[in-house]
Amino acid sequence: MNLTLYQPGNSPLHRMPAGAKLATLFAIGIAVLLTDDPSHLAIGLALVLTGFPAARLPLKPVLRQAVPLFAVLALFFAAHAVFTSVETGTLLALRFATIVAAGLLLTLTTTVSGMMAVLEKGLGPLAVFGFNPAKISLVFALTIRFIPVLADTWMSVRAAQQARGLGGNPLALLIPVTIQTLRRADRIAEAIEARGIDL
Amino acid sequence: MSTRDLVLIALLAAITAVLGLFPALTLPLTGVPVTAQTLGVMLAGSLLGARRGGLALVVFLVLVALGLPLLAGGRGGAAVFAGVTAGFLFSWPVAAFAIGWMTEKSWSRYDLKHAILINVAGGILVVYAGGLAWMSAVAGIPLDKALFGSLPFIPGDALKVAAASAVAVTLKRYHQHPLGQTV
Repeated sequence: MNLTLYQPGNSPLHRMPAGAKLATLFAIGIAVLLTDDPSHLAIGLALVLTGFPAARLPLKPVLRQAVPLFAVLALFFAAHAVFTSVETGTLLALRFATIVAAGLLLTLTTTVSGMMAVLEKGLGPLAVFGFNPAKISLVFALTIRFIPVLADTWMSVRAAQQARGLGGNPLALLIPVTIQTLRRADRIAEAIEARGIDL
Repeated sequence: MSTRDLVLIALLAAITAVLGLFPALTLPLTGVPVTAQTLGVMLAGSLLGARRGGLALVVFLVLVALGLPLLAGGRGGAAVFAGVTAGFLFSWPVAAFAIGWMTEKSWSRYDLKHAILINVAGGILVVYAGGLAWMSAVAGIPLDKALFGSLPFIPGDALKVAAASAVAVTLKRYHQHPLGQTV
């Protein structure tokens, strides 16, 4: 199971620090809201799109993410063309397309651990308000670790219920998976505390 | 929050992710698979209560934003939060919190009837209020048109309400429900 959208590479966009990329994305997000001129937005979109060849990204994973996003945008443009006006539709579609394309570039060229480091840095000041950044990091790490484990549980319970002829019954799947997962929580919490991780 | 609370939050966030990997339900007659992630929203609220349920969905969405392809169809990344339908995503933690809050309030009388009402209110009304408000405010689609466009998803949502409610009530009956356990 591939749990990241990151596409390895060595382009300038890959080497740019994750924090700087995130800041750029925010800046683009604000910039597209500041202009009402479709020609400015079209230039902005064209500039963002040059990032894709510049990052030398493989076509298939890019399309896999981009096609559903832009299909919704096309539908949305069609809705505007019918219900309001083509001009509003064009303006809004260009705005969304720019920010969506920039977000896609960020995700495809940045590792999850790079993003996580930015998040932890950002959460640091929250310690003043009684938040414990170590706890927050632990929850994220646990979730990432649990996803393949729960996917395994899911498939083994499904196989067991299919063998009993209960393959078409969603409750015969959901209830055992949920109970196993909740029981697992107690054992994991005990294991964490037994290792002296003091939170 | 105890270590157990943190683990429960992580597990329900992970369940929501796994529900995006596999279709859990298939619409009767049509055979359309229902991508079941709002089932994760309903389960998180119904099983963990307001605070932990809401946080489980916050954790899930942050991981999506960081670039994990956890949304149904293997989508993820910062881009999905800028789209026309991002309001539905932002409504998930609110919906889980609302379901959890109502479940806690009605705990002593919590049965299938309560569970269904609560999951309809949180898992359908709150989610659509957030999603449609975003569509009309940010994307400029008139509210009634946006509502009409989302009608085809209602049967799937009804199935998810039934499934989440049945799971929560069954777990309560067999004393496996986290809200019924005093630890």
